[in-house]
Amino acid sequence: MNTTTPTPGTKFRRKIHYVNPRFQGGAALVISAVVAGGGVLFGWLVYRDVGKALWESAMHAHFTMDTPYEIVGNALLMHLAGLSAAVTLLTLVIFLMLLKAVRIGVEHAIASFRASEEGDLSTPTEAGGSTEFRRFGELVDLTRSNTLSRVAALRDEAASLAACGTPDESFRPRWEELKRKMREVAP
Amino acid sequence: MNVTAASPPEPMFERGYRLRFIARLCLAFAAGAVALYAIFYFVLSRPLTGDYSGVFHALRNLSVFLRPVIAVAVLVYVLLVCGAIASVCVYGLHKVAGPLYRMERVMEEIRGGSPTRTVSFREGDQIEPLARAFNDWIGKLRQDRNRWTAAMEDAERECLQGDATCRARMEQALREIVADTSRYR
Repeated sequence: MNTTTPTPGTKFRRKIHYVNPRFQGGAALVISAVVAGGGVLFGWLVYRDVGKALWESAMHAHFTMDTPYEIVGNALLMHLAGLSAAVTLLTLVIFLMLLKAVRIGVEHAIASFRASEEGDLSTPTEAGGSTEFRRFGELVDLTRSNTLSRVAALRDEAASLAACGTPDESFRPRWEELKRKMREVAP
Repeated sequence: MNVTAASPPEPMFERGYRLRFIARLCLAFAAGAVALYAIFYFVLSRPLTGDYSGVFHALRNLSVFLRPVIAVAVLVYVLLVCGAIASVCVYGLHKVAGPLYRMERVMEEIRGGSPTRTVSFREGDQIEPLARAFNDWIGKLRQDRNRWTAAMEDAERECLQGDATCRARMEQALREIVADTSRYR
């Protein structure tokens, strides 16, 4: 039994790979559905062709072959090649579509961050591409609107303090409070 | 590594990442096809022995027995390949999902008003331009905030020299802040 006790210098770092079930699990599910569909189609075709070939051989052939594989080997290999080619091609298409969806979503989010840098915190991100990026775009918009409301509150308070003749005794606490709130912007 | 410095635009996905992902998928399909072939070869390569009647019955029985053989073979293929695909998708797409996840956490901290760091990158992570744009935005926001704070602190320092112009200097700093924040809309 391992009785090693952790020492101060030992690092225990748990690296979680499955961080986004919708994105990672969704992609795995779609590709798995293609594989399962291909497998079922393959099974049906093999059953139809190989079964028929074996039956016909049993009824008509003179059995010059040593094993059943010699009767159906070519048909089996052809179906296997067809299955592999179809599943690989469909998966490639799905993978490329996934990359495209990610690219579209990321480009929208980047445009949104660049606009935010220029001060536009209210134009919606509208990150398309996939559900995951729409959700991410909503989070980006939430963060931007939160930042905008903080900045707007600061602006209003600063304008209020600068404009009206606030008494000195209440000016100083409001000034300090404004400084404190300012530190909460992009902390 | 921390993504902070601006640099020329980079592709969203490294070429090597895409090729590795596709190669792993192809490997999974190839392994599944080999397993499928092996099962059929094992079942169909038994020698046909005996006279006409024996061979006839062997072939006829085999064609009847074929359905469960195919079902098991396809099931093994699907389970094997789907398992491999699940692991390829989880480990491969982690390079995209990871930065998104870390960015979401940082945004959560920003909304909560707690101190945050820039979005960090691990080796092999993709969609780096997104994290860079995000860090640039946060960097600009911090730069603005520091300018506003500095304006207020400058006014406070001038107050130490005398009360006569103190209030006026503070109000001037506030007006500067109002003007500066007006670009945010």
